[in-house]
Amino acid sequence: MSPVYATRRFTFSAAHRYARPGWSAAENRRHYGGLAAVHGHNYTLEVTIRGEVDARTGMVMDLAELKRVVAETVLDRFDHAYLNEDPSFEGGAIPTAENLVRLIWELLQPKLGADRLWRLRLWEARGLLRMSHPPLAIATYPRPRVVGGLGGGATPLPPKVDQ
Amino acid sequence: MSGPVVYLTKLVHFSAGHRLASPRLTEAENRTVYGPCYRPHGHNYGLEVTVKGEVGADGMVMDLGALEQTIQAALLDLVDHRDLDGDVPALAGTITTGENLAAAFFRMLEPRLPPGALERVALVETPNNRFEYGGEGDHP
Repeated sequence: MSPVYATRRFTFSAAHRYARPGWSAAENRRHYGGLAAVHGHNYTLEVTIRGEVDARTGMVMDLAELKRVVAETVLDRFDHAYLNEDPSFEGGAIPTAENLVRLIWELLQPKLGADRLWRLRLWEARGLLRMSHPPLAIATYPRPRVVGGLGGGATPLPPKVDQ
Repeated sequence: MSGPVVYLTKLVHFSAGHRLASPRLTEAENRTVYGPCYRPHGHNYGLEVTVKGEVGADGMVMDLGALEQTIQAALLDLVDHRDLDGDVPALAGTITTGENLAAAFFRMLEPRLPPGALERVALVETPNNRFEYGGEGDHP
């Protein structure tokens, strides 16, 4: 088997806060600092699918179809949403990038198939090379990025400098 | 010699034209499957070439200058500012999707590098689309 990995990048904006339900406002503030207040991010989500290339179409999967699935399953649900109020976080789990990426995995896997969905990466910011400061958080699930080129994922193209 | 195995990635760019059309599909099917990609268009492609190897006594996995020259001669000279569907003999008969290009570029580069050195080729078609190929087996 000689699989190809196809990665598509998506963005959405959402609000969240870090707070444990059993704690007072002061305790949450002490533990999480500024993260205890409601704030938001422009998230970047990279979805990697893996498979053999279909000889008829030359594609692993129609990326327009992937776009539809991710829009229906992820973006419609989380874009411009308050993540703490999402049903999945009702029990008081904190919508960290780590928890959110696992939730998105569980939502996408039944639609894309366990064989096809390979990895998710979630940034609480834009992708690496577009940022002027280090990323706030990157959550990768379930596979680590062993080697990743320049920032891994769908690396934005830096401007070419002509000498 | 048994230095640590290190992965080294070189990023290069090229610009090329193409369209997606499968000879196995009718024109109507091609339009449905490929949408706007059925029309001739082009990209500023990014290409990441990852090699792996033990760090040698000179402190390097591979001479980056030599790697760059190899990529230039084996690939960029053939595809930069070309029509990928008509101007590149090595791609004859290939539907020039990101998937197929990543695999084709891997196969074009592999014999020009030391045995086992080429780990993976990643083709960055647009900032939102990336295609990776590493030969047999999984390359997570």
